[in-house]
Amino acid sequence: MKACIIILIVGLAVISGFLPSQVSAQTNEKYSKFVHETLPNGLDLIISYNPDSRVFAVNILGKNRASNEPYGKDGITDFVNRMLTLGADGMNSEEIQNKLDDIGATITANDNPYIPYDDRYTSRAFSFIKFETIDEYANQGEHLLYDIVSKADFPESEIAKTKKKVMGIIGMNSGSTYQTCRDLLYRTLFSTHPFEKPVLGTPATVGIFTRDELVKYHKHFYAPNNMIMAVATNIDPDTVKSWIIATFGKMEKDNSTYYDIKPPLKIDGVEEVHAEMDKEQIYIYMGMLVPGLKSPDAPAINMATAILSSRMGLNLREKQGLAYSVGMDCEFMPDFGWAVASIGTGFANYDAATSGIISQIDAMITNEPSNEELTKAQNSMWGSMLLSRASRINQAFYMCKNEFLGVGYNYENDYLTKIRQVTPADVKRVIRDNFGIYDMIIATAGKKAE
Amino acid sequence: MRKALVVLFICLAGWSIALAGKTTIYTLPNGMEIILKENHTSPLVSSVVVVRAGSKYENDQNNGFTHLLEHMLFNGTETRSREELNEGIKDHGGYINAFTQQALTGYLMVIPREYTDYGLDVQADQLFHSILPEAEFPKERDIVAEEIKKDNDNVETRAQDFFTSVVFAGTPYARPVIGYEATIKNVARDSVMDYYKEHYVPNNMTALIIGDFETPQMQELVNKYFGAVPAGNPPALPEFKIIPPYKAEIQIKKFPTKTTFMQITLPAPLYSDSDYYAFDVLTQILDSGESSPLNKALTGGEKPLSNEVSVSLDIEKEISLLNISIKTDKPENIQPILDTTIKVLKELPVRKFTAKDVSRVVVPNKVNEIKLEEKLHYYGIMKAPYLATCGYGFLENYIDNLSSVAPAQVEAAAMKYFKNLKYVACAMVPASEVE
Repeated sequence: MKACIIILIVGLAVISGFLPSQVSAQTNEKYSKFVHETLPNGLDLIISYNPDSRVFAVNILGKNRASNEPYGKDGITDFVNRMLTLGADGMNSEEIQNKLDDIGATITANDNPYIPYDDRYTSRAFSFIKFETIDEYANQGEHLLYDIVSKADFPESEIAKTKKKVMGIIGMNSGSTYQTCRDLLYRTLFSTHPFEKPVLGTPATVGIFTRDELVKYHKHFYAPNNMIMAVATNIDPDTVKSWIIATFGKMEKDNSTYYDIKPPLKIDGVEEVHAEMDKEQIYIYMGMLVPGLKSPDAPAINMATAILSSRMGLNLREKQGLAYSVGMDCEFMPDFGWAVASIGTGFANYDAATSGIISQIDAMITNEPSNEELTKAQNSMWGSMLLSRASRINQAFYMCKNEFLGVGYNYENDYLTKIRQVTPADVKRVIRDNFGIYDMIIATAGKKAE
Repeated sequence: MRKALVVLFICLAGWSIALAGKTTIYTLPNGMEIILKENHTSPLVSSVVVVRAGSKYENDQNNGFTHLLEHMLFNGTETRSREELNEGIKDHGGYINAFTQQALTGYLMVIPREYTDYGLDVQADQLFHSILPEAEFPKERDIVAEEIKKDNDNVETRAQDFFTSVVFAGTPYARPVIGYEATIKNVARDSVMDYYKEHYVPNNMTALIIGDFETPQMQELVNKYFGAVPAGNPPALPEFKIIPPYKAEIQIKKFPTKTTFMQITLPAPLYSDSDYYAFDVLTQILDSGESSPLNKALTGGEKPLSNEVSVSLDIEKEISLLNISIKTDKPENIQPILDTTIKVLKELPVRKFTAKDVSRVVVPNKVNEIKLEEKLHYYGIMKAPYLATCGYGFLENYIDNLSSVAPAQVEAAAMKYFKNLKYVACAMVPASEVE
């Protein structure tokens, strides 16, 4: 067992000495505590305490989902997540729902497919189970969460219903240019890599899941040594830890093999892939591989993506009116990352949109951004991070994610320092070296020409 | 929906002030309603200003007008360029956005607390001093046209538009908020400017500001930026009656979709009616996922009729409606789904409801309110429709009113609204061509 680490942070990283226009990292003057410990059964446990909210939030991360889904079982992790609240420890779905309602608790383990463009949490790299209630129900809630996660029953009748539900979502997504284009990009950018698998699976894989397979996979994937659990609460962290030791701490370690996610093959040249759909808009995704989070260039890559995204918004949307939504984002694994620019536009705008995105990248290869632009991007990134970490459940989610990515649950404590160290020359260099407009995938879905 | 602990009404220099715990509610001399909620969970401040200007104030000729105006308000003011307005907040680590609905347009600004002064200055400038530059109209029309295309490609949006057009036929609510490309193309700047000047006056607005601030300092800022604008003469609210076309037959639209979408709409009490909260509890019981009787009847058994069911209340000033939304992959099931739904609803008047049934609605609402207060950027967005339609009093007392509902009142509401059913049933079913 690792030594229990308690970190007291008073006035978290109050950073000063920036240019007047730079935001500073300030928090309330209340203290926060963190407990980080690996339990004997391998469960990686993080507890974050501060008194500012009554919400008791837990996130459980299942590691390396895409690489651990067996051959031909694409989507089994998503399916298992959907089954968790449909039968556990002898309770049927209604009884579980009632127990959750009794304490006002919610469990979210999948994206809501009916709210488009909002999914910032689903990943091919890991799964999530988010649980929320408030302090007065925390102990009861933690027990219930344990029963749901560790004692899932997988009733046959619910398996059949869930198959129909997932097939319905897959069918609905197949009609969406956005979803189709996104899947096409991943299939091509990560060809022969686990990330090519669609998160939901396919009708062919989902249709043949058996109860035995689900039970076996659940036991393996949600074994304590494949999970990271983060709690954000206003309850004393040692008390919460004692609850968790008495529940999740009893789960058995799985000594069978787990598979890490390795870097994909490099892209050589520009590859264009297209799915023709009878729609008013065409969706365009341009993807390229970049270094991973372990790279010292990761903050500069993040910054470059943010600046490009802002420029695309300004030039392609605000000046040319080409799209309602346009932007760029990047994702990281420890040893590789990928940057994706996307735009949805009328099919007549296809050429202008594609060349517009490329020209924005090209412009930054030759001209570095100004100090002012850099500072603005840094402020914007810091503000976005503050916003997305405002809720306890997101704090728990990102603690798990950062721990999984190998940079530590508290990676973001000095996030502002990291991005402040990036220079305009760094941004130009990382774009020149990594954002290869001659080595990218261009995926499109929709109507390409009349 | 915080419980009001202390409510003091103070008349001071023409301001009526109500203090409710950490919530302060007052009206500026120019008529702008202000709600300040201290919340110290994050070092951020969020301000949502609700303007009572939505698509229901439009007509067939200018449908989409309000939404286009919302876009135009990001194109510069008398003293700030478009870039300064849009990027200024982001450059200070903040977020700025807006949304248009049928009864309101909402302007959201979130900013780190240290830049609250700057953020409110920008927001007030955007709301009261925008210049709607002629040169920006073509570009904004193009962006809105792209937004319309995006919505048209979304099957769910198409289904919802169809249901709305049927239920609210002949009323302003039937029109899409976003409008049509044809009407957007013909919008003239002068008429948008007239509409802006008429509707965007402080006495037609409510500001809900929540976040990490001290109330006295925030009141000074609010007075400085929102209080400096003179009152206007907002137009009277349009008055009309909504009578949904209740009938037994399902109204069908064919569309190239794999999923069949269905909505069954029934009358519900107005938010100001005495039995509203009992009916709200009933609605939430029907929407209670796995334990909902409707969910069990439609998605349970060996051969479930549908894949998903949800139930919600649509609260407007003129009418409240109960909407039952259903998805199925079998279009041939729509009539059995309707029959089963009616059967379940007709059984409710004879069902005995318990205190536990009510508690399972009230507790999640209480917890959700605490959760929502953590999400400062969502808080105002979630509350805005209620502010525009029902007023802050409804929000403030909502949990208390819900908590006071007795099982017998739920039974009475079931008897009143479900004994003799009338409904509008619509379905969008798969077809190879758009109808």
